[in-house]
Formats: sequence, C-alpha cells, structure tokens
Amino acid sequence: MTLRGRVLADVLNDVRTSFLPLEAVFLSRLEEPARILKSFGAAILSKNHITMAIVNVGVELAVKAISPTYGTRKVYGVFVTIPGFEIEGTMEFHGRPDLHALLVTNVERFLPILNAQAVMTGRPESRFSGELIFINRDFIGLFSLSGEVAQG
Amino acid sequence: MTRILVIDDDLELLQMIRLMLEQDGYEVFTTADGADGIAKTRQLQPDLVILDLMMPEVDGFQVLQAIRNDPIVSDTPVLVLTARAQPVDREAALAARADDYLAKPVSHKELRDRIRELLNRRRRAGEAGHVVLFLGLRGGTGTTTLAVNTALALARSGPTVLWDASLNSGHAGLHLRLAPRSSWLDWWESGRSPVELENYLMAHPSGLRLLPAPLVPPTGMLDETQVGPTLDLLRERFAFVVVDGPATLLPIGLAFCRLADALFLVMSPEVGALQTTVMTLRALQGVGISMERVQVVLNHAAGPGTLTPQAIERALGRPLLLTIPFDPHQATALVQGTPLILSHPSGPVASAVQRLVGQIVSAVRPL
Repeated sequence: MTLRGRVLADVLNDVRTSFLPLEAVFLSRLEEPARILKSFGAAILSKNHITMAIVNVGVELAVKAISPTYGTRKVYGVFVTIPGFEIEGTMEFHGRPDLHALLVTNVERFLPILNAQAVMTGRPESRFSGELIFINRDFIGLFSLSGEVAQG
Repeated sequence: MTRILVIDDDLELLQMIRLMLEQDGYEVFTTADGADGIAKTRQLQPDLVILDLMMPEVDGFQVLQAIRNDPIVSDTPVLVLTARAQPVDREAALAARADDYLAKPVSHKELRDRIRELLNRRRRAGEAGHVVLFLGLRGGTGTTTLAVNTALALARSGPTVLWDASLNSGHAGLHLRLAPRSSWLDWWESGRSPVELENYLMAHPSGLRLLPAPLVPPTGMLDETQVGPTLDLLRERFAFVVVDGPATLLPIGLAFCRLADALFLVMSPEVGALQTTVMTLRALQGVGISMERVQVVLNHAAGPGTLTPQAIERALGRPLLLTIPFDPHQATALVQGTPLILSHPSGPVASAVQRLVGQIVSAVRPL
C-alpha cells in the first residue's frame, strides 16, 4: 500500500473513501496462513470488511508519534474479541480510560492495539502477532481492560 | 569466490542486497522471477540462495520445493528473507526445508551474520569427519588391535577419535595405557550433553582421543538411536572417527554399520571366523547395507595351521582388502600399552596398517 506521506492509521480512518488500493497482493487462507493461494499485481480492499490489520514491524509508519502529555498517559492491558479471533495487547489512554468514548463517540473506526497477539478461536495454535494490530471497531464483540501496565 | 543468488521480486531490495553483499566480497547474482530463480540455481550452483516467499506466479515455497527436489542442487543452503513475519510463516519455511529464516526489514549486520553462519555450517558439513568402523563378530580376531593402530596412524593425518564401542569391557584403554574412569555409556546416561562430551574424552600423548567403553559390560537395553547423534558430534570435532565396534549386529551394532563411511570386517584365518564373516556379510546385505562400503581384512595371517588367503577369498566370494601378518610382538605391545604402530613402526603390522590408512585417507581426500 502506498501511504503517500500519511500513516496507516490515517489511511484506514479516512472517511472519504471506503476502499484501500493495494499493490503486490498475496492471498492466503486462514486455515493455511503460510501457503500463498493467489497473487495479484494490484487489488482493492473494502475497509468495511477488514476485521483487523497486523503491522509486523514499523509502528512509526502506522500511527503518529504521540506527543508527551505529562502525567496523564497510561498503558492498559486489553483483551478484545472479533469474529474468529481473540486479541490481547496494550492500549494507551490519556487520563482515565473511557470505553464508551472509545467505542461509541470516537470518530476513528480502527483502534490500535500495541504489542498485540491474535489467537484464532477455532485453532488456538494459530497465532499472529505484531508491534501493532488495528481492530475494526464495528466487529468488536467484547472489549475489556485488564488493568494498568507498568511502563519500564 | 563465494556465489550467492538472490531471488526477490522487489527490484529495489535486490539492488540493495546486491550492494551489501558485494561490499562483503561475495559474487552476487540476482533475479526477480521465481521460475528464473529455479533455473539459475541449477545453472550457477551457488553456495547460498537468498529467497523471498511472496513472489508472483512462482512463489518462494515453490522455488524452495524445486531446489530440494533437484538432486544437483538439493543441498544448497537457502535463507528465506520475507515480509511474512508470522510464526506460522517461519514454521512453514523451515518445514519446507529452508535452512534459515529472516523477516524483513533486515539490517546489514543481521543479514551478514546469518549468511556467514549458513556458509560456515555448509563448510563444516562438507568437512565432517569420516567414520571408520572395525567389526569382528568372532572374538579373538584382533579387531581392537587393528582399530587402535589405525586410529593412531590416522591421528597423524588429522584430529582423530577412537570410540571404543565394545560391550565386553573394551580393551582400547589397555592398548593405549589409559585408565578410563567413565565411558560413553555414562555420558549417554547423563543426558548426552554436547558440552559435557569433552569430559568423557581421554587424551593419548600421540594426540589421539579415546571415548572409552564401559568397563562393566552393560546389562540393560542400549538405546541405538543415540549412536547417530553421538557420531554427528564426533564428526563435527574430528576428521576421523574410528569405531571399535560391538561384537554384535543387534540394534546397536547395526546402527554403527548403517552410519559408518567405511566398514572393515576383521577376521582371523580359521574356520570359525570364516563362517562368522560369511554370515555377517549375508546379514549386512540382508538389511540393505551397501556392500561397497564393506571390506574384509584378514588379521593374524600365516599363523600356524591357518587357512590361506586364497581359500578364504574363495569362500567369501570376494577379495580381501588387506592381509595383516601375525606378529609375535603384539602380546608385548598390549602388556606395555604401546601399540605396534608406535613401538615397531617398520614392522609388518605397522606397514599393513599404514597401507590401510593410506586407503582411508585417499578415500576421504581424493587426489
């Protein structure tokens, strides 16, 4: 995907377009994630059908650097379910976490879970991990906080 | 010059890797196409292939499969370099017999280290020690004497270890005047830690190392699956691994026979030894051991009232590799703990052993 100077979060949350143009596309089935089923030079992906997007490395290309706000930024462990997956990681909140604001009034559709691991519900041995996983808010079944994580 | 072939459909990355590797002194070939990568691997026979997985049409898994199925290049080390960085991807690449796996983006240092490691691993494998097994199922044929003298002579050609795999209170220590306190069986029972192996190897002044046999004959079952990994470790460290084999083909003896590069059946010129040798050859053939690796050595030849070499060859239906004369000094050599190759280097036994060693060395390092 060509980001054209933007970060992935901005591209995913851009409400002016419902599609993502992709280059050099490789398809694998979830049941055989390591087998390349098809490949295409270009394709277009409907954002409405993306449940999550894994960023293996390069988090700086995915989200804007957060400017320091002294004393108010806290990291919480989160556990989220979406169809077929359970996702665990951390999330940063400014001040006290407000889940209603995050899931209902928030204008961003894709939520960034840091240092995340996604486990396939039907095949728990299949795990996907990344520095960051974006989750489409529309597919969230359960969103829970597991407490503040000490920052080292 | 070491040749590296890089197969990746990302042209910018290809160019970058080419520059990095050329800077490190490698001869680099590149292709952006999987099918061409298969052809180039066969044509160039590189020392290493760096392979992307996500490529259009012929993907990296297909390239890897083609390389592994091609007998000419099947042992070429392949380093997978891919943006598919999930654990399942790594597992799949290694299951497809990639030698190593790196996720993009990769630093120059990381790539350089992995390449060196893979190339060194290949060199080590290419130089792995040669396993020479002496087997005499009939007692009293002088198998240990021959194994000890051969090991001492080989030690002049390169690092050599003598593994006394006898199950009957092995005598290699007596021949070498070494008093073992522990044995390979102790090492196996302690978990066969590669790090601990050194503690079980005894040093002879000649430079030969001895992995001693258990002094008390084992009474329990022995795990023959330990033979292979033990030989692998010894081969990594020694140019020659001489095994004084157990006087049995039961699983442990057969394990040695299957893994040895050269197998010498030792017999003495009497009817009992002849019968045992004929039947041993038949048994080895019956379990699919290649007869090309097996040779028969006649020891203690020309002693009083013995069979002639010609009669023995007729009975075996194959020529003897070597005839080693009877040497009355052998009894003294054992008592003194000084093998004939050291005490009587010009004697008939030492000369015969030198001929045998010449054959072993030339088989390993052909002219």
